[in-house]
Amino acid sequence: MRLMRTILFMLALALFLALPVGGALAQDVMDPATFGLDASKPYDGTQLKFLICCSTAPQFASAAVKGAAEFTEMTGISVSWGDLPFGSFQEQLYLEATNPNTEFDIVAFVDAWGTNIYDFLHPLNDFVADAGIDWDDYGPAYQQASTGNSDTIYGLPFRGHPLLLHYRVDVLEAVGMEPPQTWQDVSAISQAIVDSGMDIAPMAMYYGLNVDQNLFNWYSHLWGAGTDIFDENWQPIFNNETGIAATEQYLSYVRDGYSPAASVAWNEQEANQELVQGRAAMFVGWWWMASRMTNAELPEVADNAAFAPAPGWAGGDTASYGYLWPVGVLAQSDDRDAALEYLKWLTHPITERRIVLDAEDPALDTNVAVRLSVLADEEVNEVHNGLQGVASAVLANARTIPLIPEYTEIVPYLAEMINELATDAGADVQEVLDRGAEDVRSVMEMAGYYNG
Amino acid sequence: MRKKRWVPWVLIGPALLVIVLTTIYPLLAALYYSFHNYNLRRAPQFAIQIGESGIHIDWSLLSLENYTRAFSDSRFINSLEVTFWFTVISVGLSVVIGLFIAVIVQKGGWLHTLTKVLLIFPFAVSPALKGYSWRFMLNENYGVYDLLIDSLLVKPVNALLSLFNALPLVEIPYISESIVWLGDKFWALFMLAMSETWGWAPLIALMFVGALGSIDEQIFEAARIDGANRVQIFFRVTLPLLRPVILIVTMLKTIFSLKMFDQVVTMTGGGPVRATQTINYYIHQMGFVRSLDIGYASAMSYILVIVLTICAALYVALVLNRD
Repeated sequence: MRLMRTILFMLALALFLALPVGGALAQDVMDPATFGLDASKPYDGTQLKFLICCSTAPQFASAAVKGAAEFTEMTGISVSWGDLPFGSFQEQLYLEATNPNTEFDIVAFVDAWGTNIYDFLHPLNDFVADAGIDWDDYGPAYQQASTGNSDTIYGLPFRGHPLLLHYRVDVLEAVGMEPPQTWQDVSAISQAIVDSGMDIAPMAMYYGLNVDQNLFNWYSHLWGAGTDIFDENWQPIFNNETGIAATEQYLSYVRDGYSPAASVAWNEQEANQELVQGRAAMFVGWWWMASRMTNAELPEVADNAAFAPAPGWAGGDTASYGYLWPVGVLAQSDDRDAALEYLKWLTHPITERRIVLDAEDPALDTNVAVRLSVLADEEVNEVHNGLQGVASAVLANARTIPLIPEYTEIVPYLAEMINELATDAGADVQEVLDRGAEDVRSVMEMAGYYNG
Repeated sequence: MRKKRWVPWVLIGPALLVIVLTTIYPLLAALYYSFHNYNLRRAPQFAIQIGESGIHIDWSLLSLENYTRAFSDSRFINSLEVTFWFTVISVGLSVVIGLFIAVIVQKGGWLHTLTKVLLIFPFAVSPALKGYSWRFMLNENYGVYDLLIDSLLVKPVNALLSLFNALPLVEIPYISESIVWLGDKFWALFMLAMSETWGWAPLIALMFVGALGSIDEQIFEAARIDGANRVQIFFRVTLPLLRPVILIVTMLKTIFSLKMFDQVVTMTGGGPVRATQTINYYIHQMGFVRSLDIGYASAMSYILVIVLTICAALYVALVLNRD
């Protein structure tokens, strides 16, 4: 009886203590003021259309679904997400953004593509100031990508991706090596794996032509070695001595046999499959792919999944591409204020945190967050085994690509150049890079970058 | 009874309207754009300007620059070459394989009938899906091609060689370890053409089956009485009689091959390097992905339209001639 009374007392105490916490959480979620939303519902009944790709991918699907009903309840605004495949999204984005009669109000866009639609986006500087959005809660690379390195904010960071090294702990332990910190370490570990005679490819790289994915890791090599695509006068410099060394290192993984010969035609997904299906020990790719390895069917892959920052350059820098999808509002939207109201909620740290913490449904389970405060959140890191902490470390040194409209025209030339070097083992790196630099220079010249 | 002249126009009106809106208007608009420096990144300036004072034409905004630029653009020239070779390979393979299938399945019997029904399926697969499927099938780890060639050809031959202790001297390398289909310029273009052949050859076979069925059996009978064997009958009798159909099928397939786009996007991405960048793919890249240069893309499209018009005229002439 006494025991019963004690248990009941403990339960009552626990309930008493939990009530304010639960109440606060519920209030956080359901109180429009928490998100800076107008409680008087001035946009009640407004229907917004959001142009976005791949809404079935967990990183997007999670943001589309989690809490959306609550937002509608709080504001009366309903938002319908467009679902376009990634392959045709760029084209559709340009067509809708430049269409004065577009039915879309909100757009999400890849950083590089945004440069072509800046004129069609509503500047968000005043909105950010008025809504009290903490701009410093975003890393420098994401800030640059959202502003195009200007003073105008064209979009708010929405989905962002640092490059991580995905690797097999068991394989590295078998050869007695620590996770690589530099690309030169990657080569050394690869050689050790080859020497050990293990039946696994040391590395899965991707040099194929597919939406220019073969450039992601090339940037890390260039920047790490100490060079860039352009100098301060917009002259291409990736073909200088440092650029050649960086490119040779980047190609060495396939040329030295560390990455399978077929990687010359692989895209990022195919390379990742090599890792997930247990045929490769290392892969450098976006962090949203991490769950594929941790959820892999093969226990030897899932149980040995580990992640580290993308490697840097021995004796040089560690800098990789911070890839961002900002979200903006089209200037021609008839419901701009309602769209801004949605942005307040969608990019709010509470919304972002809730999306990442909710791992119940695998189809909506995502590790993707962009705010530094969410990336540093202990509970978030606990749920995702510290992945956000690794991402923070990468983002501290992350950079963005040249954010000029001409870059979308230049990128395919660079991707072709890398693909040529990868597919033709005898190709002279200097000669191909020089040719690529000429192509780039002609685009910049036509755009008037060298006038005067 | 007085014939009401307006009735046919009312009946075909909706269809005509759709054609005008979806075909004629875009065609004319593209022609108009092709003479302009029209880029989606900038506010367009068109020659025909409608103002309060009426319609004004600014001739200085019209030029042939986009057309002259095309013929000095090495990538456009490359796309012409790629399209030419793609057309030659895909048309050649589709017609030859189609004819081969037709000869096999033309006879009666339930198996042949069933085969004829099944033949239409590859053609019904969407081109984009065809590209994805072929990319998958050509994968060295889980693709069916390497598996088939290695297990049905390379392995047995090497096993045979080992019986004669010849293996150290002439061992055939496994395909999965020696060829990267989509990483090699020749094989990538060839496999792109094969993916097209896979869809078209069965349809062409059905056309040939129809044509073969219409040939009078007495002609074959006469050839046999004259002592011709099967091969002679095929080359001396069947093929000459099929010539009009072969020409029509070739022309039709040529028109479709010149427009190749979907599989390039989903299967090769135009690579390796530029080995599978067809004209349509390059036009799309320049117009909607890379430069957003609608004027230039329109001009290149019109160059393609001229080539297609010539082919279509030949096709119509052949059909009419046959009739």
